[in-house]
Amino acid sequence: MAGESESEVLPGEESSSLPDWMPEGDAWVAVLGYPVTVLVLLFAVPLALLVAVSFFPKPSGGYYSVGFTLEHYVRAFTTPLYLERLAFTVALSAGTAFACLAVGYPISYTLARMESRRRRQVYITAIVSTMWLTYIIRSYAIGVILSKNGVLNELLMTVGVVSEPVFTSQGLFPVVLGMTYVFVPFAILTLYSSINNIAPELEEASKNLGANRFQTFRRVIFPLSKRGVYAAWMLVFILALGAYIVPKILGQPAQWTLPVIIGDQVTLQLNVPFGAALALIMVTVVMAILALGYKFLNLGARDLSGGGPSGE
Amino acid sequence: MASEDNPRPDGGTVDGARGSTGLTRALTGGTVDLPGLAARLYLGLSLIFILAPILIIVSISVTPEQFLTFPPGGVSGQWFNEVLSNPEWVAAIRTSLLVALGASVVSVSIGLPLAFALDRYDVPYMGVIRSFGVLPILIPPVIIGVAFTSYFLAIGLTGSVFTLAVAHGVFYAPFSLVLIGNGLEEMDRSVEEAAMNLGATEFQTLRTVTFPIIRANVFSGVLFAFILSLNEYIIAFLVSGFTVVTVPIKIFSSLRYSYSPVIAAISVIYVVLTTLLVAVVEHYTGGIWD
Repeated sequence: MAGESESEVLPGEESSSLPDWMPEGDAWVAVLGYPVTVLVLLFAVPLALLVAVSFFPKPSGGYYSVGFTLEHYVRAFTTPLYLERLAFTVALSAGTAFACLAVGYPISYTLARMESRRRRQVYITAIVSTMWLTYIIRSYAIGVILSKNGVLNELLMTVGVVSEPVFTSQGLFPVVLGMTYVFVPFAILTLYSSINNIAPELEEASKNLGANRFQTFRRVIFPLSKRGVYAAWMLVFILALGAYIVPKILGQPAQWTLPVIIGDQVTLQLNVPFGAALALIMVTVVMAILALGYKFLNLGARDLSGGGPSGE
Repeated sequence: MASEDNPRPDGGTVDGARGSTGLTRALTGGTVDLPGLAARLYLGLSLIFILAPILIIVSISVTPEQFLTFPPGGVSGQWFNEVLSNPEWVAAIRTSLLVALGASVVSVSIGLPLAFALDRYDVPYMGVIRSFGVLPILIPPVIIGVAFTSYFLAIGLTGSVFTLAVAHGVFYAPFSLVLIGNGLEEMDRSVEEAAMNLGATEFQTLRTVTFPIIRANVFSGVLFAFILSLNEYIIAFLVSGFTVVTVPIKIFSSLRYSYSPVIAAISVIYVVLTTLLVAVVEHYTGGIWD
């Protein structure tokens, strides 16, 4: 880490912890030159351009022309449709995050307390693979299950619970189910690393003192995993805010989220400046929520990368 | 993280042992362990929720009929045949693989030197560069897609395998950065010193000592960018401008017409491919999530 590195080692002097080829002076410039140039040219500049474009006028024939206008922001904030979509996106994401906790927690707990390391690795590989499998295939799977002649309706009708199909493949329920399904692996992995850190002896002690399973869960395990619960909720919430595919495939226009509207503005309406303005509003919302999480729950970027490959 | 198993003093398992005694008691008419049973039922339902959709896709992909019927009327490879003999799907698969290959090269070429510099040197703005590591997971991809689209429009590049690979490569570079950074952080630096003391030059030390130690991490970074690029839709769609068709783009547009078993077949190919690659990463790194 940072603390171990030293930028200056005197030539000829024996260094106790570092080989003497360690950089002298500005050696890091040579190593960093290429990646930093690429990142500035291909990451910082595009993002800066996104900000600029959101203030550019939209000519009737082209994508954008250089200039300055606030019209896209005025439009975004004065059109009920866009504010409504933003509110819907936030509500849907919050609901998804709660659903993912409910489904993910028991699985994470079981994984963390699994005896066989081999079995656990098989489960984790399965969960991670589903996690990165394109949302399109997973939304399609949910759509197939819920469709009118789909497995679920057929099953319920065969058993005789209902006489007509009750589920449809597009609507609010499919979107909520689909969102929960695609984001639950992120919650599972985040919760897993948190529960895994709780010493099993604490549970044992609680049981020995006469608590039943439920009491042990409520008074011992859950409070100790609270940080993981916050982190998992936050991670799913942020990911869900950016969801595009699930609402587009499993939703009707009433369930379209802000990212769907942004994508449509760029690809169908060819209004890149307005899409950019909506995108910036979205980024601001995400940043504000991250800042709140950092301030009140002390959740840093590292806590939220639990779903990523950063490990522990 | 400690990955050791936790042996229990009584030799049983926390969950298994208690759950089964509960069940045995319930069956033999003893005290019913209701909370235990409820917990198991809840766990079972959660697992079904995670696994059922994929299993259903697999069964649709081998159905001999046009739609999935229960019970399935048999097993047939016709939908896989249809995918692999259709030039459009084959082209989409080839495009996806090319983009993913390019993206992994771009991402590791950024991540490796960056991780190395951050680990070894006092780089200014280290915190800023490091927080870049979580970007791809926290910034909505649609926004990255819009940014790249306006940028490529501005510099006059149209959608191509090249622009897609660059967009994915830059967006997924942080995964390489974090993985390789972890490897460098954990390695024992005294072996480098030993090599130098034995007369190896800087470059020889890097090539024959440092790199082999962090190889698994570099490899995982490459595979990660590959897996993610293979499965990414919205950035690819926005940047492609309708000219490049990757597998996710093709699946998405096919979904508008019907839920055909052909889509299930290509999905299964993707599920198998993604799972294999993830398993390789898991194996190679000894479990990065564990």
